[in-house]
Formats: sequence, C-alpha cells, structure tokens
Amino acid sequence: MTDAVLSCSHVTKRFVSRGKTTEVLRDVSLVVGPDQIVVIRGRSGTGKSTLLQILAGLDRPTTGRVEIAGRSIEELTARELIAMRRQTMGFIFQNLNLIPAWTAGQNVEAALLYTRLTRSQRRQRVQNMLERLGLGDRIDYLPSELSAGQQQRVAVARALIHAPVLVFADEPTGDVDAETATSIMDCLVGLVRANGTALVICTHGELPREVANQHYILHDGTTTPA
Amino acid sequence: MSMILQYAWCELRRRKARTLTTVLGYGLAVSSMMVLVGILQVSGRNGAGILDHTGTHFVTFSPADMASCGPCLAIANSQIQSEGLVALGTRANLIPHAFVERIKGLPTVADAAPCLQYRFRDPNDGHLYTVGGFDPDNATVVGTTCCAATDVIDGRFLGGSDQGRVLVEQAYAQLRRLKVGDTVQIAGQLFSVLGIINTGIRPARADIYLPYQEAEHLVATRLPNVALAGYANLILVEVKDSSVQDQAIREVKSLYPDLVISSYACYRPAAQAKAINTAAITLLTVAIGIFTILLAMVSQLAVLVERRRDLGILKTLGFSKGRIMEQIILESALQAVLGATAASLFVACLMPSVLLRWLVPMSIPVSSIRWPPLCLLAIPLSIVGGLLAGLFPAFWVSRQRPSRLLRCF
Repeated sequence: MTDAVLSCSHVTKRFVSRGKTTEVLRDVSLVVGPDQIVVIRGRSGTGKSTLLQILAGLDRPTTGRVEIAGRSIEELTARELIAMRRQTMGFIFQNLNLIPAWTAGQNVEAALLYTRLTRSQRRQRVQNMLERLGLGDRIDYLPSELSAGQQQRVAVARALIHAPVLVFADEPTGDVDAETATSIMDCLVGLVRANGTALVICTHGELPREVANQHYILHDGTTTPA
Repeated sequence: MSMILQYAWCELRRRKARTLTTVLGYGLAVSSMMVLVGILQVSGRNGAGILDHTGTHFVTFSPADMASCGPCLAIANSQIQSEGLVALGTRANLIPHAFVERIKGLPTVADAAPCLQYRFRDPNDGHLYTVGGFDPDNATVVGTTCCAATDVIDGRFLGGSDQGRVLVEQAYAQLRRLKVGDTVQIAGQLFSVLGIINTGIRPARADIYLPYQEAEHLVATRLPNVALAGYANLILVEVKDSSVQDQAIREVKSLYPDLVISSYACYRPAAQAKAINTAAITLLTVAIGIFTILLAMVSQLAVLVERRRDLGILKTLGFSKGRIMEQIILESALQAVLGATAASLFVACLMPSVLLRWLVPMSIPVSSIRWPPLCLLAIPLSIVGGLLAGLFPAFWVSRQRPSRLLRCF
C-alpha cells in the first residue's frame, strides 16, 4: 500500500534488564491507510504501549522497519523526527494525560506552540475545539478541577487541534466508566472521521467492531488480525 | 518567551511547598553570602588597613669608607676617636637632604625624613652614647622608625618648639640614673630631660633624642670643619603599603646603589597575611556559592524526577530538547531570582539593625558595610547560579527518550 500513512514490518523489540533479555514484540507487521481506524487489542502487559511508542517514533525497534507517511523513521534525524511528530501526529494516553499545572486551554494550546499561528489565533482555535467537545466553559480549569472524562476529552482536543494525519491513542478510555468511555470514543471517532485522520488505538477492552477498519490482537508479542 | 515564562510560573505555583523551600533555600544562602561577604569585606578592609602599614618602613644610610670619608678622617685625627656619625652602629657618610626629597617623590613612598645620629664619648667616664636628631613634627615617618609620642613612659614627648630639652631612652636613663627634669650634659651643653621613652626595636634607635637643629649644632661642635647644613647621615622612609615595600626598596636602591637599606622584615608576613585574608574571603564566598548551586541542582533534579511523565508528554507533542531545557532552566532561574530578591530585601531592610545589635559589640563595624552594591550584585549572580543549577538537570532530562519518560508514573 503506497499511500499508507503508517506501516511497520517485522518489528521486534527486546529489553535487557538485570542481564535478562525480554522479547516484547516479535515480527509485528501492520499497515494503516489514510482515514483508517485500527484497533490493537491485548491484555495488560502484552506490549501494546511499546508497540504504539515504536509506531509513533517515540522508541526505536530492535529490528524491523517503521514508515510514517512513506518515510522510514530510522532514516530520520532526531530533529526531523521531532518535527514529524509535531506536525503529523497526535497522542492520547491512558491517564496522567495532561500537564497538571496547566489549564485545559494551555494543555491544548501546547500542541500549537510550534505552528505559525499568533497567540490569539491559537487561543481562538483552542476555544473552538473545546466548545466542539462540550468544554468551552472549562478552558481555564486545571486538570484537577475536571472529571476523568473531561480530562480525556481535553486530551482528545490536544491530539487533534493541529489537524494531524495520524493519531495514536493508548487506552484512551481505560480509566473511565463505560458510559463515559462510549462518550469519549464517540467524540474521538467523530472528530477523526470528520478530519480524515488515521487513528491507531491500543486497548485491553472491547470496542464495537464497526468503529474500526482493522482489528488486531496482540498476543505473545505478535499481532494477528481479529 | 512569554509562554515559557507563563508555563514556568504555572509549574512553580503547582509545587508551592517545594518552590517555597527552594526559594527560601536560595534566600538563606544568598543572604548568608551577602552578610558574610559584607562582614568579611569590612573586617578584611580593616585588617588590611592594619596590615598595610605593618612594618612598612626602613632606614637607609651610606656606610663610611674610612679612606675617603671626610668627617671620619676629621674624627680619626681628633682627640675623640670613638665618636662619629653612625647609623645602626656603623660609621656613616653624610647624605644630602636632596636625596630625601627624591626618595619622598617615589610613588611607593609615603614619606621620608632626614635623621642625624652621632655617637658621643663622655669625657668624664669615657662611655659611649648615641644622640639622634629628628623632626618632632613629622609623626608619620619618625614615629615608625625613630620614636613616637606613644613610646613615652614618663614625662612628655618633644614638640617642635622645645629647645634645650631631650628625650632619654629608658635603658640609658636607667644606666645614668636619669629621670624627668634631670639635666644631661652633651658636648659640654646642658639639656633638661623632658621624657623617658621606650622605643622598642626601631631602626633609628638612639640613647638620647633631641630636635634636628639642636643635634646639628651639637655635632658641629665636634666636626667644625665639616659642612653639616643640608646633610644627614640617616634617611627614615615610610612606605605606602606593605605589599609595595619590596618595590620601594628596589626603587631606592636603583636611585642610590651605594645606600644600605635596613628594614625589619615584618612587612613580609603582613603582606602574606593580607593575601591569605583576601584568598580566604574569595574561597569562602565561592564555596558557599557552589554549595548553594549544588543544593539547588539536587532540588531541581528531584522535581524533574517527579515530572518525568509530564516532560515525556511534552516531548511526544514535539517539544524540542532546547525548548525543554529552556523551560527547566527558566524555572530554576526564576526561583533563584525570587530567592535573591527576597534575600536582598531582607538583608537591606533588616540585617543592618540585627547585625548592629549582634556584631557591633564584637568590634565589627557593620555600619560601613556597603549593602546596596551587594544587593545589586546578588540578583545577577543568583541568575547565573540558577542557570547553572538548572543546566545539568535540564540536560539530563532533555536527552531522555520520550518512551522512557512516559513509563514514569
């Protein structure tokens, strides 16, 4: 697939700790096309977060190749990789997702700091995004003053504010109840579809099959289509 | 920059207790440094004031060459062969007063004065004694090399207008059983004893002291064929500072290579002591500065360990290493500035009165500490300290991979 926004082939990852080598990922290959939503499901400790970090260029694979927008991340310099992350990717983490000292608005605005937008343009865009997510009146709230669901929606806003081509979500609903989880997923999927953004979600829970274009199961360090 | 500042401020406010502790730490360290530096400066200045003038004097004379010395030959041919112009027990040539003026003009010399010393022989019992003629009004140089008012143990010191009066060295007075008000006969002339003095060890020490002009008249009676006016046989020199004494001696020697210079070497330990004091002040201040920076660095590292996940999120968002370093260093510098400002205000407003109460009884002149320059200096120095304290932690955390930082909860 030449127009894949993300592809990885034969990725392995080994960690050496106290003289012991642990192979977390083994020969993982997958392709994510534009507009696609890919769900990687697996139990806790199976290496979902590690895979996500390798796919996002936050970590290096021991072997294998990862390409983002047609460029191999191994061939990118650290500076180019940072620039790529800044421009083309968004991230949502499971918990402790926001900078606690910054307000909701500042947290979202952080993703726009490296754009050419003026401060007022940034603030306006943040305001619009938070309003779309029903948090327009919470822009000056600190994360500690928001519920878990609201915090995750702020994280969704931050991941999408700069219109990335690819969003990574690591257990985005892991810390909330089922109803809130559904609400967050609706928000996320709705925005992703509306913007034509590709989305890779790692989760240990169940997601409705119709949400995603591809489902993978991560087990024993290897992905298999579900 | 304003965004970085805003974020830095938010971070500091988030950890209020730790920020307050760090700021207080900076404040305590800076105020300690300011007080210490202030006190050390003042005591250093005072100590230096004393050490500067410890042993900063010498005498110079021209030892006689018996073959060519006119006055010496005159004496040798006379009846009174043991007598003569002497300096430090050695027969000495006459030196023109113009030499004194040239020496006085040297940049390292504070003052110079002529002195006339003559060894007489008592015609009754044949004992020898030295008479020194000096200018009683020249306290600076005479006081350190010859005799001073503080040396008087009985009676009083000579004044410029005193005539027919002498001061007698304690040992000589004891030998001759002289006391204040007694009369001594020198070269057939009678003088009243005005005071008994103990000059200790001085380069131009004599047994009897009297004003220069009178000494000149007395010597002229012994050397009628020698022109004494405008001549002396000993030059008393006071140097500006113990640290330039060696230089002064070299300069005098270069002017008059034949002159012998006699100095007590106590200016050398004085100059060394001064240098040691200066080094001690510098070392102590630098040590406190380094200690403070290290403490602040440890505190900053501890904060960063707690914040690793936050920084991982920022890296994930595309924050560059430089931007993260800027953020951390700015936070560190902000705390340092806050601490230094608080310390400056505290020290400038409260410390003088506190110090006055505690330190003045210890004879430390606190009122002469110049606080405003110290306060002004504390702020930029604390900025530098804050930058240094933040540099290593910032460098350390900025080099970590985002994935590694994100694993830290």
